[in-house]
Amino acid sequence: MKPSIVQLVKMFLLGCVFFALVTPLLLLLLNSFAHEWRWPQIIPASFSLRAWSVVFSDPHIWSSIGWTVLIGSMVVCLNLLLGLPAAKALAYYEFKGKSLVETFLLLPILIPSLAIGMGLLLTMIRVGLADHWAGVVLIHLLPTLPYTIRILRAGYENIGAGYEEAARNLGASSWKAFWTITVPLLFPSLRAVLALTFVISLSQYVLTALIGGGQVVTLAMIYYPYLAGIDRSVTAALSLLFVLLPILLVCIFELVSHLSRKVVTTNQMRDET
Amino acid sequence: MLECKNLSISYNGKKILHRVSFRVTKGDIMCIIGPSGGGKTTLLRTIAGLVPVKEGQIVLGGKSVTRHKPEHRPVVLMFQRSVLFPHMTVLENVNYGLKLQKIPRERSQQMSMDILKRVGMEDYFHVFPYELSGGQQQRVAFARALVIKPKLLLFDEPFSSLDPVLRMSLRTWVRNMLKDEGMTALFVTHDKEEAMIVGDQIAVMANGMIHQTGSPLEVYKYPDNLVTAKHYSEGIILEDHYFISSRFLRLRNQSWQGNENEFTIRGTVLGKWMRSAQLFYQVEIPHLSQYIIMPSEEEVEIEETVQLTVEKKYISELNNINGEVREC
Amino acid sequence: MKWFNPETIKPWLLLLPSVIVIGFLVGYGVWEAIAESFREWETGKWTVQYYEELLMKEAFWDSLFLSMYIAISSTLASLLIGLFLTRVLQRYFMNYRWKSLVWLPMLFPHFVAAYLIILFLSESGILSSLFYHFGWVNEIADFPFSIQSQHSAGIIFTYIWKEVPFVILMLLPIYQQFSPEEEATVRTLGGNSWDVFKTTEWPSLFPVLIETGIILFAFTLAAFEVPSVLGITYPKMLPVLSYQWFFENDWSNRPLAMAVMIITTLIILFIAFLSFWVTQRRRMHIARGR
Repeated sequence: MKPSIVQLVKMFLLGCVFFALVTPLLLLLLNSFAHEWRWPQIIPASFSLRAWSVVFSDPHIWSSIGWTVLIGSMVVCLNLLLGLPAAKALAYYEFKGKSLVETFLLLPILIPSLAIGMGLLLTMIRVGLADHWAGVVLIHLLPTLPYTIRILRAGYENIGAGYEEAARNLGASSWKAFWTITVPLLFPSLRAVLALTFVISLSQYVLTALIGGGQVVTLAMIYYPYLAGIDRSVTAALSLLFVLLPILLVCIFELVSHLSRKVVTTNQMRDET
Repeated sequence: MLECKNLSISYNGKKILHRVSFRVTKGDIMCIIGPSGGGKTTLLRTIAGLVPVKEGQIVLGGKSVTRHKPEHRPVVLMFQRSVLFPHMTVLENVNYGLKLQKIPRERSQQMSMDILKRVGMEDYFHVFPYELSGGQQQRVAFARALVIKPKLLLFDEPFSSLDPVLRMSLRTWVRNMLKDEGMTALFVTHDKEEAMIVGDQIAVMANGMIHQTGSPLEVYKYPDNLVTAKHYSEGIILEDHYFISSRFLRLRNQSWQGNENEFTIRGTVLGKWMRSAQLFYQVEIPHLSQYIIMPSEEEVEIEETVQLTVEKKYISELNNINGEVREC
Repeated sequence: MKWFNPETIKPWLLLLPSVIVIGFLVGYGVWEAIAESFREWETGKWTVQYYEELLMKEAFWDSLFLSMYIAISSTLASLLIGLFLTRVLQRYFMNYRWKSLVWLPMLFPHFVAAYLIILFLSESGILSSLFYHFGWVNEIADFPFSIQSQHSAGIIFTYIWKEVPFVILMLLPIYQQFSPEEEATVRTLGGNSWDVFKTTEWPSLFPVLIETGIILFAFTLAAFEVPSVLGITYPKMLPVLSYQWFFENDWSNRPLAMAVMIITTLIILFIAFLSFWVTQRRRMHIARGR
């Protein structure tokens, strides 16, 4: 079959999209292994592992990764804990004031979190949440929870209430029905929530700086000074860490779910969606 | 009016339509019947211009439209779903095609109201589709199709998502409307009764081929191939080669003694019911793996063994057992 | 009595934790911010002096215009590019490999995306190097493009790269809903492909585009990370200005910093309200029609 002009244009566009999506990653990789890379060289003149050894030998970076993962995981857990019931209510129930609640739950997206953070700071200091990881976790709920509820709600709506009701009908307790029916069917949504929430949490600079007060040192806190510096290779390596951490987390999540044999159906679902 | 000559469509190397040829005269309704996946929908989409034609020809009113874009063909396609535009009122929906033809607003509104009156929906002109029942939505969709006066209407199982009672009444209603308008139509269905009620002509389609065409009763009585016998006619098929029409079969109880002119088949009664003041039995013929529905005055019980008899002269031969394409 | 019906209160029980957390954080936070912006910082007396002071400052107005310009242009550009790509390439994006690829920029924090723009487009960046090899520039200073000065192009490019995938992922589910029947109906009634877009796609797309646009606008107007990396010293974007005032030596500018964020909030809420109001009527029919 001869490709038409439309087909060629589409292929060209697809190529552009691919380029725009993938080259940044390659550029960062190249940069992180570059030993010497001066303008106007297209490719580094020589390579080395220096940047990565700097990153992995710095105890500050190690501890910041630890804090980042701890805070990120707490944020994910809290999001699921709060988001799952709320999403279910919005997906399956009709009640008075529903659209009002929907709008209300969207407010953190609309209202600048910086305004809220600044407003909360004094109180946080008073009750001892400022300069503490718990305060940071709390404030990270603002830019994450609305998205979590949204994604999970769409997930619930996609499955429909029927399966869970059928399970209950067959004698499963609500807890059993949740683990054996809802979680496996909701798997793609859960994975999306996990990735997105974690990414958003680890990309918070200003909220973490504000509430953490420089005492809670996450990866973002380490990263910012490097942006002003001139060590491009280390900055590139750190940049890659930001991308690798959520990917790693999602992989672990997938692995655990595979081991517990709960994703038999979701693999088939993924091809359809 | 409509003539398809040797239409062939392949997709990813698979043949969806294979040398389909038939013609429909002006004002006639042709029903296409057959199992799902047989190419019926593709045929309609091809005639509407939504599937590009590589091989064959479509002639409409004496002119070839094979290469025309769908919007330039005087053909409207209707579906199982009414596909009314949800953000437009009933009147705006009906008016849509006229607006595309740039007919002045006042005249087009008048035409739309007239056609709404004809389908009995004039009281709902300002209503949005979600407020209508399924049957009402189909009527509006029908009005929307009729108002632009196409030369040919295509129906893709338009009633199959409606409940049986509504379905029954819409069948005759649509047929009468089409006849009043003198409209030519192709009507796809998988329901034999629907095909017989609506159609002037029947085309039996399976595996991308048309196997037999003719008047509904003729084709029912005299299937000349296995596909037609299986999917349209009723009766018992022997060795994929011989056919006994239900018309000639009699249901007898176990003690019946046949004569030498008769052929006898044993079966088991699976169910019985009354319909239109007539007793019916569903009979399984285990060694043929076939079921048949028989009207009878005999009193037999469920699970009882019965005999189905036919005079030997009524056993007919199916002439092309492989269902190969016949050149028209 | 209806209130005690367990079926009536069940959804509220399920919603309660989220509503309390968001209600407390947002409600209390905003209230405190408002209160502090209306109080004299030393005595705690109520006053509007900070708003008066703010509206007299040229720095504030310059920041406001810069922020509006960046937020509106990057939002519109992301929506247009996202819509165009989704429409043209939807068949590919529905394949899960491409879909995962589209997710990729979502994994990059905004400040990393800003760094990428530096790597690509700065005077000593990769594009500049390429230009040298094409013979278009001879030394770094010749590179015609500056991410910082040229109408804040660096910030806008960063947002476009980050937000176009977001737009695509918001629009894809809508394109998945469309059936070939809708297109067929319009075409056989005599419409061309533009009519197909206008009648079948646009009514469903419009509310989602508006919603996505508001989310993007609210974010770009109030986000600190990208302008703090790529912004220039004057004028600053509103959140950067506010943050600077908030942490200035003594606390005398804190109310001013709060006032900046309160005004930003009001702008966002006003625009959000306006657009939701515009889409309300249309949304109703679509939702029930499906």
